[in-house]
Amino acid sequence: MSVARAQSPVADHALRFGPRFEHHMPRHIDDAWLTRFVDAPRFGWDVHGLHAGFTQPLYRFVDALPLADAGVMPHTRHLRAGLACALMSALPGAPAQPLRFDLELTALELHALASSMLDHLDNGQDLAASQGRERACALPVLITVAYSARQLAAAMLWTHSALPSPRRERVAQRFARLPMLQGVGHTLDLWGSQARLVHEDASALEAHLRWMLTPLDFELVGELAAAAVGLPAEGTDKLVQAAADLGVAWHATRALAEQDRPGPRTPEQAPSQILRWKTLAQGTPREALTALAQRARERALARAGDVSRDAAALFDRFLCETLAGTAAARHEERA
Amino acid sequence: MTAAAPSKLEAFNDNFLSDMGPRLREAYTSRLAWCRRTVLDTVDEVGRTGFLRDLRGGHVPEAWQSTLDDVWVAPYRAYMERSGKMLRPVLVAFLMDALGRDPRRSPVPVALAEMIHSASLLLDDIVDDSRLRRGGPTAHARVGIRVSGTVASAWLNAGFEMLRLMPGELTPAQVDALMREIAWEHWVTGIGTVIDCVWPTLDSLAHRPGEYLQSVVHRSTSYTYRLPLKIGAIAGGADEAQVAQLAQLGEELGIAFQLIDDILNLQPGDDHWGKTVAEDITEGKITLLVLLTLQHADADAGRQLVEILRAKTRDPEQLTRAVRIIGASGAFERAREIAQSHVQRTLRIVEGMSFLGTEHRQVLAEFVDYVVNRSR
Repeated sequence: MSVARAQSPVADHALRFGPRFEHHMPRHIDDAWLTRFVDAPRFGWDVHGLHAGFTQPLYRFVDALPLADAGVMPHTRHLRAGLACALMSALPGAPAQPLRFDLELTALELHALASSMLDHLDNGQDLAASQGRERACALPVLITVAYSARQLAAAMLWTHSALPSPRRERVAQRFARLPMLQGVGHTLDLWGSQARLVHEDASALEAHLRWMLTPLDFELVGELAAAAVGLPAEGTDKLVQAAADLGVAWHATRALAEQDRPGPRTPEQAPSQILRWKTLAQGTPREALTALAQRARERALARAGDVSRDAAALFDRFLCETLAGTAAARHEERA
Repeated sequence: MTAAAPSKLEAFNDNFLSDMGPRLREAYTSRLAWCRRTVLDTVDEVGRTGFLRDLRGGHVPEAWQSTLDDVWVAPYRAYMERSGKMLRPVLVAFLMDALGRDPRRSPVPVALAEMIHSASLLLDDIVDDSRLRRGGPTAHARVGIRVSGTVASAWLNAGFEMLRLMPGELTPAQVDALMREIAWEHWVTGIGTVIDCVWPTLDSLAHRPGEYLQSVVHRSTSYTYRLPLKIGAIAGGADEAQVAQLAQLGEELGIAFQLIDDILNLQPGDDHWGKTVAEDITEGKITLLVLLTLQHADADAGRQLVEILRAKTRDPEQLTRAVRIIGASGAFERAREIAQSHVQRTLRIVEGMSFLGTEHRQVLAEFVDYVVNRSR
């Protein structure tokens, strides 16, 4: 592990968060956990069945993600939790122990995992045609696990968040509300690629990113960090917008990096859904993406800087690290 | 609410009305047309570009609207256009009225009860790999598995935005309580469904009947009755204890309903039963009937039943043999007794609802009777 990687605040927090995730989302859930997050069992759960049908498939995806000590990359394990912790530490009123909000961070990661799991599906007309690249888990189980994990995230916040009221309710409501937006966005994204829809102009391209890829990825990071330090409403809105801009810049930058990848792409190598859509009617996609990434980056840094200079610096570093992590991974592939 | 003349929307077969007691029938028919319009109007409202722009505050390309209409709204709306009875929205509206609140001033809770249920059916159809729903193609048969999943997830969670943007006369505390309960029900429905999904894939069928009932508590009671009753209670201004009583009613009724549904799947009440007979056997489902049979039948009969379940067969002879094995073990009688015990609980709960008037309690009692004694 290089010195530079060891000093990455996002990587550092992501690594430290791992055991906390396992505490709130254990590999083997028991009656105590079920009582806490569901209710007192009336008749008794089949905990072995829940392991086979929920936590085992979930952890299969978790364990497949690279740890943050390998660098900060798009698929780094607990990336969003790491970013949220680092952001908390960069804000005024930073908590001494960001990981004290480990339940909230677990909710964040569950959202991300759900999306990642569903990315493995193809859009066939039936289950057999939709198997995609996931072979180890029966599709009905995978789908049930993914959607349940997403819903658990919101539910656990309402009842067990360490945040004081009314911040707790605000964050819980955001976690509950955003899946609708993400669902609409993904519907458009998936169908648009099949129907070969075209972005009319650069603003439509940006709307695609804002709608389809950023909500749960980054806005919840901003929302959570703001709530953890008790930012007032105006500062929270600004930070959430900055996080959304960061998300747009991040996805656009990744899309550009993926365009440089030689040879045919497998699904793992084309993580950015933006590439599914046909390109702009006017202009080149690379120019548009580059301009979009630059604009979004500048907005993210400016808005974050209005809240905290350290937050802006963190966002800037995050974008650099992610790009560096992606380039390093491609270098290893070629080697 | 005035009685409504049948409209083109009411294309369902209304023979089931004869299964309802007179007070329930009156409460139902007087609200049905408004509830159906409210559900469909709300879906149309939420599907508009303007609503989505309100969510996001910014640019929504007009070109997206036709795609949204075709792919996000239409496959989902079709489920409600083909909807049989709209029992859940009528239940919510009835409860709000019973508690002294006019549902027309806060229509979102009424619509939510059906919208959530219908969204869950899209997901159920995916997991069951079904081609048809209510006589028409399933959503995923139209737009694909993955797209249908995102459509369902969006509509399943649309209620949170609807409550935020269209609260009507609901107070902030009511909005938060509704959101909290809906979020919890979404989650526990999922964890209950995990068992239903995973059991057919496991080598061992060594499960206790209680474990089946535990999965039913959340998989089968939530969107069917417990959540609509909670929604009606909270939107109607009930206090926590009253909400808990209505939730308990929904849970007991949901358990009874599922057990009776499992029985009817193998022993349909009449020829007009709208589902494929013994479909649960074909799908290899591990129901209470199966577990009771494995507990009480001899080893050879149990082994034969397991073989038939694993075969996922449509062969009428095999299906008949499976049903005979279950019948011979006494499982049908045992399951009926268990279902009946939950029915008795529901009636005791209804009797104890002193915060409702006598007439309203009678409607609920007739509703329980209708749910558990329906033949179609």
